Amino acid sequence: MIELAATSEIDTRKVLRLGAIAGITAVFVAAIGMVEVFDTRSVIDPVLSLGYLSLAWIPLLFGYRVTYEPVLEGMEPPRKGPHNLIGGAAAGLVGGAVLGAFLLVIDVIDIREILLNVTPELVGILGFDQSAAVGATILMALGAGLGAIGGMFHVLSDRWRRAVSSAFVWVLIIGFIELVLGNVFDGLAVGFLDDLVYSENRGVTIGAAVVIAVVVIFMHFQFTGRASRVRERFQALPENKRRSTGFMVATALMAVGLLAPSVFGPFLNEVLATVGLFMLMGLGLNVVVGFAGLLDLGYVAFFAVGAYTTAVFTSPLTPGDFSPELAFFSALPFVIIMAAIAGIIVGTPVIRMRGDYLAIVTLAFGEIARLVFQADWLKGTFGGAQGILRIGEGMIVTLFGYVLAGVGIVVGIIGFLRWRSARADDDASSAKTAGVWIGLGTVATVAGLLFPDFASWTVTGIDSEAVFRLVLIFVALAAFVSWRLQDSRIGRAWMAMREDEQVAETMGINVVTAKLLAFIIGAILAALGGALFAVKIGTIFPSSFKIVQSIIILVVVIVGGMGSLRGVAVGALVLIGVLGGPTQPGMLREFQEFKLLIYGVLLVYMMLQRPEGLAPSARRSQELHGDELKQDVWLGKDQEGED
Amino acid sequence: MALLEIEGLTKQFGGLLALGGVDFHIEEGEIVSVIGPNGAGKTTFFNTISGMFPPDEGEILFDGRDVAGLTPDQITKRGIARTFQNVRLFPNMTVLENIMVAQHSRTHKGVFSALFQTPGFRKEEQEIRDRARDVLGFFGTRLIGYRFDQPAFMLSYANRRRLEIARAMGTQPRLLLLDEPTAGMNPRETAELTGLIRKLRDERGFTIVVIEHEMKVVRDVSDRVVVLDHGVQIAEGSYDEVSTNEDVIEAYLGRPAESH
Amino acid sequence: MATRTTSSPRLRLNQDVSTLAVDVFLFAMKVALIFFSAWAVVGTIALQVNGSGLTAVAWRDLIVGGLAQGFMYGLIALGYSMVYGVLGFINFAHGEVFMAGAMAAYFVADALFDAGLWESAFVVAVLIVLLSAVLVSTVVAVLVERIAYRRLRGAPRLIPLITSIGMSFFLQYAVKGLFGGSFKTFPQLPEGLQDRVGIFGLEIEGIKLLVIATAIVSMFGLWLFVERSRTGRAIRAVAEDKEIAGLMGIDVNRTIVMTFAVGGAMAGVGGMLWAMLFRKVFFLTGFLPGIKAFTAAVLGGIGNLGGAMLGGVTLGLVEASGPNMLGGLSWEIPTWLAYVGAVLAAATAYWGIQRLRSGDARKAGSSLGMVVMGVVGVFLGIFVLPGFSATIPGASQLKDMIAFVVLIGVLMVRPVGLLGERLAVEERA
Ligand SMILES: Nc1ncnc2c1ncn2[C@@H]1O[C@H](COP(=O)(O)OP(=O)(O)O)[C@@H](O)[C@H]1O
Ligand SMILES: [Mg+2]
Repeated sequence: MIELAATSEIDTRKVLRLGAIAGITAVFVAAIGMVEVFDTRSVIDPVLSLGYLSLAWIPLLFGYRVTYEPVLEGMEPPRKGPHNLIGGAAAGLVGGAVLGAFLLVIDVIDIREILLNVTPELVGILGFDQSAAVGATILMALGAGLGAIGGMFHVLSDRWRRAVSSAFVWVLIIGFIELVLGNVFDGLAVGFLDDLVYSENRGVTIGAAVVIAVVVIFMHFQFTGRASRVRERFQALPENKRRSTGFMVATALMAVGLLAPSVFGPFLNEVLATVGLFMLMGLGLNVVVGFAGLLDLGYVAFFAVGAYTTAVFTSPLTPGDFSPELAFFSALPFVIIMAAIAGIIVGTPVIRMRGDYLAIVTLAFGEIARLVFQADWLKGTFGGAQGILRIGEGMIVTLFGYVLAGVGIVVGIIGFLRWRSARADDDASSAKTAGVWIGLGTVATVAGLLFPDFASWTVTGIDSEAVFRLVLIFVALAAFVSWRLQDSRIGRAWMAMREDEQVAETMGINVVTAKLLAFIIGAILAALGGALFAVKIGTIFPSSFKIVQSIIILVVVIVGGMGSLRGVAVGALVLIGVLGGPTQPGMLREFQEFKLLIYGVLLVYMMLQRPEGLAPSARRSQELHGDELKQDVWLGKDQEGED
Repeated sequence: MALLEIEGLTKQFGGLLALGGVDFHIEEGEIVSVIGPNGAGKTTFFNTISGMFPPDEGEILFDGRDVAGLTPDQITKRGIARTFQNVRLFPNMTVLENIMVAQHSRTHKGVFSALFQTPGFRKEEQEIRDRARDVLGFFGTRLIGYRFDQPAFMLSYANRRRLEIARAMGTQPRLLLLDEPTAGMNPRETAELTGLIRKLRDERGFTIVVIEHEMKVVRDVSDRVVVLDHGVQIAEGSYDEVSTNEDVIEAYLGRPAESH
Repeated sequence: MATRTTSSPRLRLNQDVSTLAVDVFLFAMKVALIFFSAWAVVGTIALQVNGSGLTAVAWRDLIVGGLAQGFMYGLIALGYSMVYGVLGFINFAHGEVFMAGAMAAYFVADALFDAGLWESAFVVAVLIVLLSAVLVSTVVAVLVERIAYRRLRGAPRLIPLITSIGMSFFLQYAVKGLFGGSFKTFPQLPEGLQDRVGIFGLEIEGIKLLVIATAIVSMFGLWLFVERSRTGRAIRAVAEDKEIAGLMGIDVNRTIVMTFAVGGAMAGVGGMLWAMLFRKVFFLTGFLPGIKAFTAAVLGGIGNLGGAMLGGVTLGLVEASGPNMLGGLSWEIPTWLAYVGAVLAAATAYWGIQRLRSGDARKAGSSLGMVVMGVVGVFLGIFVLPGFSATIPGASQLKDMIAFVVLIGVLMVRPVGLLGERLAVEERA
């Protein structure tokens, strides 16, 4: 009886359709070689390799989707019951059957001529080293089982669903970050923990996996709601307290970040330096795309300008006669100037274009930049295809002198601005204080410039620890700039322009200056990224500046959440940290071959399912999904006022 | 001297003559209604004045200076603000931010003061905020309190229309152009807004041009009525004069009744 | 009427400084673009007259090559143009639809070659290859629409654009993952097609002739389809106004799918021809031709099918002759011509001043630009340009750049393209 009631709620066509899609997805994952490449990497030691994991998520997901029904307001909530499990299992079974059929086919026919990743090894993996028929049966059974587990998530109560999925996710995360934890354990001289958690094959041991899962579930029940309560308390703080708390958190993070490289190994520092570079550029692109709404696809051009300017100004081997051989920090002002000019050159022609044409034209500029740097025509300046070598070697971070001068300049500027506003208000005492600021700033600047080498520190590009710290400082600066601009007159103007350019103009915003400013700031941040990139690797070639670079930065911004600073940080950490940059490896080196494919899928997925990104700014998440609960509260309050 | 004086304003879209040489003037402190059947060119009239499309021909003297061909932001800076017939707020900005951003052309602080949060910057921000609250307070309890931080898209239709007017006020104009401010409102809201339009002039000192379909509103608010049809002015005068004018009646009745 | 009390002062710019500066800069960019193009063209002609240019045969080959390339751009551009006309967004993944066709053509041709049919029954084989390419491209185009774009109807146009960029990446690397990243070499063509055949007294490589002829036939077919068939009429109606078309009983969804299918089919033809002509295909084959075809669509006027063709052919010719034209810059500008230029520049500057005097804000930017560029022009014409020449080594490396410069130039100077754009009406107040 139960069976019948349950089956009547299952939509057979949907099961077949989703099952088929699941099967095709699985065949695709197998045929592009992912399964085979990933098979060498273990996640939970003997039972689950990354290769099987790349298949296992499919029946889980589709098993869940097949009986998924949205909760509609005013309607009865969807019924839970055995039909969820049965539907999931059925979809998984269909998926497994499709993959099994594929296995039977490739076992008999060699199609390596066409699909060159369909190797005998793949047949072995898919068939669990049994005969193809047995393998296909196992695949179907596993598909059904995993599909049922996927369906089971509907049946679980909300709390258990969350708890179990967190447990899953955490086991996987710990499995993935073997490299990080291993390094950290070693760095902290507690290497024995490493052997406890991980097996020789770099996967979590079964015992550890169970412990992790139990701990996560326990923690989940123990602490649910606490995090949100903390957040609520934070939100309830008055504006200035909130700011200072936020600032303290940021400072603490920064301190941790600066100390962290000492416990990480060189490979991890290398990865993190790349993450930092992309964070820096992501923050810049976020100003252009996220704040101002201008889809700049040629962002790599500014990155290239920064790298080449640094190269020409610092390298002793510049192709041309112009070879000032400056130190890295002395070259930075020129990097900034060149970036601003490039921003104006690219920004001006596109100012009056509609958004999508702007995207394509900036893309064209990006390609033009690369072709110019590559051409024999300007080989005398940029070295053509041979690039420029020995950039910013042994760059000297004149820690004290230049920092002092920099602080002095900032203090001086603040003093000047204060003095100006005090003068406008006829406030003599403020003016006097401002005068002191100006004086101190001037003294500091002069002193710093007089003794620039005091307490200096030599960094080479291969010193990944120092490079990472350097990058981090730049990221912090960029984050600070974005954060301050976001809530200012110009930030609001950008936001309005993003919403409706024509209306923004009618409300008194000069869109020409607003757009150019966004382009210039974005360009400068990208160029700083380029400068760091150039000194980090010491040699640049035009081929480092392809359009993919732009697209990957765009993916970072979009996956994180357009317009969200947290989003850029999360996006860069997750994507670049795990998968890697265009050429640089991430923590999971196995992904090297597939990351561009994954970036493409992510871009599509995010646009279709989560346009606000993984870590949206508070505003964005509201704008894209609406906060229905709050809305109800508001409406309730306003019953008498509203019509 | 008239605050706004327009001579021979002409605007063509392809072959369509949307405005065929309109002359218009409004004195400081006046409220003038522009009426006419659908497609008469009323909105186009506002669009050309506010700079969204430059006019093909004609002079637009605002406060004695020619503003034809200036970009919309410059026109706003000179003191003309408008609302849109099909409400065009910044939907994802909060109510308060919608007004704050409208003060752009009246404020000055740039990148550096924002980066260093100078006292001048903070003071200006505070003033922007205060002014926004003041403007929103004009609408009674409709747009204040918890509504300040609500994104504009969450507002009711009538409130969106109010917010549009508030946003136009935020640019601190001398001349307000209101494009069908009561469209889509129920009779109670319409009556309330009629009172507000008068108050805008009497208390806040704005000069107002209003496009309106609702004859009751036209009668109650206007000092003078201008009638457009097919892009030309066919009548002008007090409400009573215009409403009995043969040409006007024909323009409205001479074609099948239109819904609006 | 009240009399005007303030007369506008003379030479009042009546504009924001920043707006003016940008206008002037833009004007300067346009002038520079036009100046260098003119110099290149005039220089090339002059060198030709002097006898130091290319031979007639070389020119003929350049032009025929450019035409063949251009017609292929045109075929791809049709898809961009139709989708833009109907849905209003740039389908960035269209280049990959084209690449899929080229890939399919390679695999089928290779199989036929192995089966020995390629030589024995060439015509049949080519038809089979063509059909498979068209089929694969069409299926890919329709699938992409179904998976990625259908749910985005009515979204702001940057959203589907970003989605299509993701799709484009996905398709590229999916093909790389499935079929490998190396170049695939298309089978050798039969002797007859590699030879030159005489037509209208010209000796032209047979394959190029075949490419051009196939392209023209396909386009003619498309034209018939769009103008005459029911579906074609539906496509045009939907492109005009989706809502009204829907009200008139047209199945909008089906029509949009048809648009993608037809665009995909044309790209498939293009892909097959590309594979045959260049005989090399790999997973990035779609990227550059895709952007260039989009350039062609914009150049001709987006949404305009005739424009896509014209744009494609124009771009093909410009690109083919471009590197050679850059050689025209090495022609020394004669002193008299430089002086004539200086006089013209002076006149322009004078004219600009006159326009400024009218005090019309609408013209302030371009007028000031005229003055500035006029003055610069006078200076250059007298002191720099007489006897000036520039050599650009390795100009052929800049071939791709020419297409990009054309794209930027068109959008700066004439964004609606040569034949004017045709887009769906947007809702207006
Ligand atoms: N941007 C535009 N492009 C083309 N035609 C337009 C545009 N704006 C308005 N029109 C046309 O101009 C005429 C006048 O329109 P409008 O000013 O909106 O009329 P009203 O506001 O009086 O109803 C209409 O026929 C309309 O279709
Ligand atoms: Mg109207």
